[in-house]
Amino acid sequence: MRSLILYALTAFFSFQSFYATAQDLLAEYTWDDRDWYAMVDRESDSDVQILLREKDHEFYFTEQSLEELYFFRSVVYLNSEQAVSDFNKIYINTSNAIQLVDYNARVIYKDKEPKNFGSDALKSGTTEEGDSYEFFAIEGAEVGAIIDYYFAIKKHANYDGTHFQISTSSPIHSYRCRLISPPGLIFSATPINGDLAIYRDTTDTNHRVLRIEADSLPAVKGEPFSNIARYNLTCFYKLQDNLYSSSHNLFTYGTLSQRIYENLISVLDKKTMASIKKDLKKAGVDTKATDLEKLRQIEDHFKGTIGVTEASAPGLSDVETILKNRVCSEYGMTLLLFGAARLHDIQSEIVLTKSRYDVPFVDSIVNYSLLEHYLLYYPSVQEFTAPKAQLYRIGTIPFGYIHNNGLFIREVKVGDFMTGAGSVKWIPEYEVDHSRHDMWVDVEFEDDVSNVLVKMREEMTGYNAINYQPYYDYISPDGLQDLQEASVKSVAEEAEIVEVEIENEGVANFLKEPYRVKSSYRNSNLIQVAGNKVLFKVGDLIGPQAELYQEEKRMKDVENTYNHGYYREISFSIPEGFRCTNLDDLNMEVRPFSEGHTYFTSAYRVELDKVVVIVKEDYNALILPIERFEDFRKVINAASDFNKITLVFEKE
Amino acid sequence: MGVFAQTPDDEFSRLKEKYPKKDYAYTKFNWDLQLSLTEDGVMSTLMREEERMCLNGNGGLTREGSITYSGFASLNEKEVVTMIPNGGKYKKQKVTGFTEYDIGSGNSFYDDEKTIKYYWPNVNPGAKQYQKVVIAYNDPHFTPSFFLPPYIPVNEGSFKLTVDEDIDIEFTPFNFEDFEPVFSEEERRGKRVLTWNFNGYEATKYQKNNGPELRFTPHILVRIRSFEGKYGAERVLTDASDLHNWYCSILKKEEDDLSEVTAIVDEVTREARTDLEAAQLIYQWVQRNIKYILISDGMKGFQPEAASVVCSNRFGDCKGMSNLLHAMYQSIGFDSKLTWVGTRDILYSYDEVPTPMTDNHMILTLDLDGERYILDATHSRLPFGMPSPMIQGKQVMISHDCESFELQMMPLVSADENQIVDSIECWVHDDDVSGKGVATFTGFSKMMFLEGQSSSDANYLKRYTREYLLKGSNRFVIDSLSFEGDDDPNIPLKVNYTFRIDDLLTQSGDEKYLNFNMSLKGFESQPIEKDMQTPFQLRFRTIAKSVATLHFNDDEEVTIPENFSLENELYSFHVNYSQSKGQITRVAEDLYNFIDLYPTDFNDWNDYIKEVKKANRQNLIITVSQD
Repeated sequence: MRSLILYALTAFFSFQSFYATAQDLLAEYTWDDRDWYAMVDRESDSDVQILLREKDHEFYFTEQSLEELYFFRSVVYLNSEQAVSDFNKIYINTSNAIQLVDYNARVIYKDKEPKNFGSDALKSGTTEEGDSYEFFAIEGAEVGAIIDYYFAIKKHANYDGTHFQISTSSPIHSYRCRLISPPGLIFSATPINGDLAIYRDTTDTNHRVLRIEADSLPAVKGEPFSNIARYNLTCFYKLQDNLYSSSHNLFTYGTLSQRIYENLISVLDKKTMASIKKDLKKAGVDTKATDLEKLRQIEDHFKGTIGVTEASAPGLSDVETILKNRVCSEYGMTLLLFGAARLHDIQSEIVLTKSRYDVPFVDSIVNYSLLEHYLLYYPSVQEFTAPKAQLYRIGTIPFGYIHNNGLFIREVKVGDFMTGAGSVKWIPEYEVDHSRHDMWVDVEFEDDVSNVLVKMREEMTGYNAINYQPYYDYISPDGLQDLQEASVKSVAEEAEIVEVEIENEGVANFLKEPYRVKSSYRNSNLIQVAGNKVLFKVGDLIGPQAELYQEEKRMKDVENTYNHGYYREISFSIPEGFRCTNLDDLNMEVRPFSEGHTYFTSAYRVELDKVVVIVKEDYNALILPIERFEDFRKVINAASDFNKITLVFEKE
Repeated sequence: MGVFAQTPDDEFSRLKEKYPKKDYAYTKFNWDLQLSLTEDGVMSTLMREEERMCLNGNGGLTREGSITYSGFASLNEKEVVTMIPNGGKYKKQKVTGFTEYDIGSGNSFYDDEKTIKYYWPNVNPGAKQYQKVVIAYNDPHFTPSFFLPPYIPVNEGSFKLTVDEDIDIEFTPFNFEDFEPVFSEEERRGKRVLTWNFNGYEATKYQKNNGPELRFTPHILVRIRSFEGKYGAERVLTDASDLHNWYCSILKKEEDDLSEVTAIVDEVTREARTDLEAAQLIYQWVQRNIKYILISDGMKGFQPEAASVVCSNRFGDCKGMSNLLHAMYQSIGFDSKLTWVGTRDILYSYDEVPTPMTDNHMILTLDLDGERYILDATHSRLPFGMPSPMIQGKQVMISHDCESFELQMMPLVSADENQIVDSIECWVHDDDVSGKGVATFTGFSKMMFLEGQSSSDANYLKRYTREYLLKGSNRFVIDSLSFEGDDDPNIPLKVNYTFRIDDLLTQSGDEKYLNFNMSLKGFESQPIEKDMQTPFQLRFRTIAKSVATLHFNDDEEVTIPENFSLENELYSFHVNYSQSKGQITRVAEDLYNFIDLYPTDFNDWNDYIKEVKKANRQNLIITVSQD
């Protein structure tokens, strides 16, 4: 995404009359001597306390462009061995840096002189992902010490929209950030998930300075069934106005949408479209099929024969090279799917978004950093697909993208000219029946009721099938049995599997037919003994369930990954010569939500000699407010409580 | 024998039939190692030519390849090609986009290993991936060795070792119990040529619990014993004495300013009443104050950092930490000795193969008042004198100030020393159980618990402890928690807690049933997958004991299950129920008296687990008397 935006904006600053160098900007930094220990909260059990975090983004003109000096300082109190391990190595990401200008670190102790160390210990390297780092170890870190370090890097300015997360899993006592620019460049900053003091500092008359500050920020920690990204205080900023060129309200979604669309269309020229058409011939797309079927066939062809990689290389977004090498980037796959749909006269909208687990796409904020990944939306069938997700197909996108906004870019005609128009729209979640895991279980008692033979049929759809169904196309024959048995093992880990039969495996069936596993297994753990009574652990037949038994104060709303439901039908005959004394234990009803969503029920009936138990569990509200957490907990724990149900068989 | 042309299709069908369950098979796995005399010594040049056919899977997914080499080597040549079937021949497509990285995902802070990554284009079933690299080493201590691939069969492959006349070498094969290569030796133009042929090597089935590949993958270690140099015969690694001498030649010789080190020793040992106490206090200071950071940078990977630097930095690797401890002990006249050892992943002993590949760790040996103590300060919670779990049972090389050395086998630490004893008392209310407990940890068990408990966050500590003490059912909840002995290495750790387990009982009429298996769930034995081909490994031998007492009312009667006992020399389980007025007690003990359990023992183990689980399925019956 980034490369495309930059492509559109080169030469933006080329006529500026004054410029500076990084050396002018960063005067020799000296440590300030505050009583840091006075800031430490003695009552806190947090491993780490961030006493101060300072950041500056200082923008300045060079002869050719706009550059940025990024300064970062952190003063950190280490309260445990874990904290020492976490903070005794400092990594500085220099991937986009022109130069590491300066860095230094020191360790402050309660009862001895601080330890300062110079810059000879710096090491550098590149990670597998291609990010380069400069890094060093903090000398002298120990529990109870405070480490204080800073670094400054010079880099190509990032002004078209970015964001940074302020809160962390540790409390922050003082947060200070400045956006410093030449007087004619006006930056704007907006927070989400909390308040920040954002104000203009007019004391520096040579620069425009925007201060972003906060005090006493609590730690933000993950909780089960929640989305921490909705709680992390995050600040978005971008260049809003350039008074030197009298440009205002810069970097809007409108102009970007036009550029993205026009760029895409110019890439998909006649020759390229002809190449796509030729390659697509092998798929034999049925011209009489519905749009949905055609789109699926197109996607099956390209995703089935071309690998999507995270790597970045020019050829990965060039259609001709992709078709030859069969490897592409996310944008490369977007081009193919967009172009192929166009060949079949199916309109596609380009959608740009970001996972809601990274940062939610807030519609009140216009910022290019929210536009990280591509989706395609097809209005004629009202479905999305995710080009990057190799195993996903139209009708299911990775769950990080649902229940979130996106920038939708559609084709519009302006006079004789075709261009793109963008608007922020909602990407909805799927209904509960999209992702089901249903099972039909038939139990036979064996060996004088000391063992059971379980015959089980499972059917999985949507997100509940994605971890199994498509992988059959890629699994090594050596690993096939493990994959076939995986869902059975997740229900009964120690089961002695007698046989497994799979139906509807493979990507071709994903979202079309449920992934079906028919199995039979023995599991003597389902039988316990109390004198001459037999205890049948019927509740374990549905497999171990998530639980929220250990109580901790809840801090966040409930956020589920996706809506999903379960239907389980368990049938068994009470063994001959026995009677069951507590069948009524099978009746459970936990429906704390009057709205009828998010519930667990279990009920039994006796049909001839069979006991049939129906267990239903649905999670069809993606988000529940914190006030309803206890109710949600009841439903989650109800499923785990069902695991505890033990039927007593006594001799007649 | 005539050579006949084979089309790509023929080759694919033949290999697919031969290896129906594999994703790949090597059609070439040829390593050619040449050891040649040079002006300065010996140059080792390794040419690796590997070509494998893709037999399964979909070529649509990207396929990543890589070349990794250490800082002691230079990569002289590389060629990577996809060979795509094209009628009767293969069409070659060269890989050109190479990216290099040097920060690995491992746990080392810094090392000098480099990896070159690339993507193979067009790898569909029937295509071949060809890679050829030439890597050279100019230090005779780092002769490369030959490794077969752990999981991919080799249809055709060989290892050719060509040695100049004046180089004396030794080779040692490992893990060839299930596969015997065809070996030949000849003399060619004054050089010794040894060839091993591996055609038809089947490889191991991949399973996630396979453990370190070095422990089961067939490989041949090559070492140079000596060579005829400019000035006559030069010993390299003839025996362990050469390795010891070479290590000693690398140790830093400069004077070290030990003022901070001795000041700390004075401070730490001020209250010590005996030498042993002083030794323990110094050890604990290093354990708790010096953070272990793995650094492996060229020869620095073999050279301990100066004691003063480690002390001042408050971090170091195993060599730096051992060197600091050594300096501290020597400063008060204690007899300590730098000691090299290989972790348990490494199969070799110094007797068998005295090479730098035999070890990867440094510790310290302390001889004090007629006792010998093995000290590994890299584990912050390891009790004084215990070897760490990863080096127990291994041979160590103890240097006597580089004048001489001795090799010594370290014992495996007995299960008795690493116990967890969980004692609880509990009461029944309706269907629920609640009570209080004390879990006592010793030895490695204590070390393990405390190493994971390094946070100060109260909620984290509760969650962490709950995982350890989980019993009865997942409704086990800890209400209160305190620790004793966590800061004192000389006494066991005691975890005091109160707990609840709701819904543990089943009621029927006037009877209640309670499965009183209160053994810690995390320490219950589990079956081993039946087709596992590699040993099942534990970190250490241990005993997990559970003593659970249930109090009941005077108007209740309790029927207890039968006692059970099953044992052999590798493992055992005993459970005993006893009853006295108003209470019953269950005592269960799981003994794990092995570290490696071999595939030949898996059936017995799985049968044993079945019996144990059967015994644990017995319930108590609580009856309310009707009078």
